[in-house]
Amino acid sequence: MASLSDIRRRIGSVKNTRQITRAMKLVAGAKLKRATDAALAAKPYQEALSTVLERVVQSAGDVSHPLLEVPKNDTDVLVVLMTSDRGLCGGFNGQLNRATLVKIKELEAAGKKVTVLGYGKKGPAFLKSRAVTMLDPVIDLNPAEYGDLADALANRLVEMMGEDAFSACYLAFNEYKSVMNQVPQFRQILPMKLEVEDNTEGTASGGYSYEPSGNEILGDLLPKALRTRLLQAFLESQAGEQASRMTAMDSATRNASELIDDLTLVYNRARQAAITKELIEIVSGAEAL
Amino acid sequence: MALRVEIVTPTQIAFTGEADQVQAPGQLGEFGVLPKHELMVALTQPGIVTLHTGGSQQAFKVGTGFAEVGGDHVTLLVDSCEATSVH
Repeated sequence: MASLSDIRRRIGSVKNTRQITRAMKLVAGAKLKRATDAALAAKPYQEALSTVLERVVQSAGDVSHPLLEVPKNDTDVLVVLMTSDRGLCGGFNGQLNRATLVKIKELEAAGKKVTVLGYGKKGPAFLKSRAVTMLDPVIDLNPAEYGDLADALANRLVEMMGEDAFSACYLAFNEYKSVMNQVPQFRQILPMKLEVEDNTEGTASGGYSYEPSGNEILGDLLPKALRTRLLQAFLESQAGEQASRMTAMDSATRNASELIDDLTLVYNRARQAAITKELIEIVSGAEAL
Repeated sequence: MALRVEIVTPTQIAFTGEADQVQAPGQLGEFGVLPKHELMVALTQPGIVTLHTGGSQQAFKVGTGFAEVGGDHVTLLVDSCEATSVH
């Protein structure tokens, strides 16, 4: 059985751990607030943009734009994987990495050549040992620079598409549903698919005039829509990471408290046993005299 | 009847409110919007958006974007927006 001082040391170390997990939980909670605020603030723009885009496409009739055409390339597929830089956030990265790997294997089974562009350290670290071709990952992401990151990524993708570097580009990220729930997503972002509902309400679609022409506006809107989608993914991923870390650290703190309670019980029992033993020794020593 | 005006940037709703008249820098030249304007989507370039309400004016410096104009509303989606003084 462990000695009293061993147990005491153990309790001390678990207490230290609990202190750290509790601090991490509080920090993640504060960052989560900021991240969800940013994600919410980006929503109106995205919604207004897709409404207008839908209207333009509906009323412009035949639309053509390089971002909508399938590139002349039918083997290569690019997957953009958004994970976090840091761990200790529960299953956040693990679930996304595993789900993405399954999709990659499916694509490979269908004869595609998959290349992964990783954002954050955790995705590339996972895929490195799994025979997946990767471009140089982008790491050390700063939430304040998500706008620039989304810009750069959108430009890079548009450029790659212009060079027919891939037949399709997918985006893998954790969608933020709620604090307790983040769902791995695997969505095609290029060539862009326009989800246009076939509503024949003449008033909603018709009657718009365009300045300049509809197609020129479309040329301006599509890259913007791509960028907004990427930005939204970055923001949701960040919110999800912090939410996931908060819940993971919360249960870690709770587990540490439970462990401390158990250890304290063992400690007290051992201490009492030692005292009893000593008393018996004194009493029996006195009796022997 | 006043126009419902919204100026939205990717990071926030920069302005919501009402105005009698809106002037915005279109890519094909500055345009003004009064209530009951025809439905229109226009690209805008960086410049000053001016809102006229009663006798007073409000001005915003905006980045590139576009404007969606309906009968009684104007939605400006721009890269950036900050309030500025009226010239």
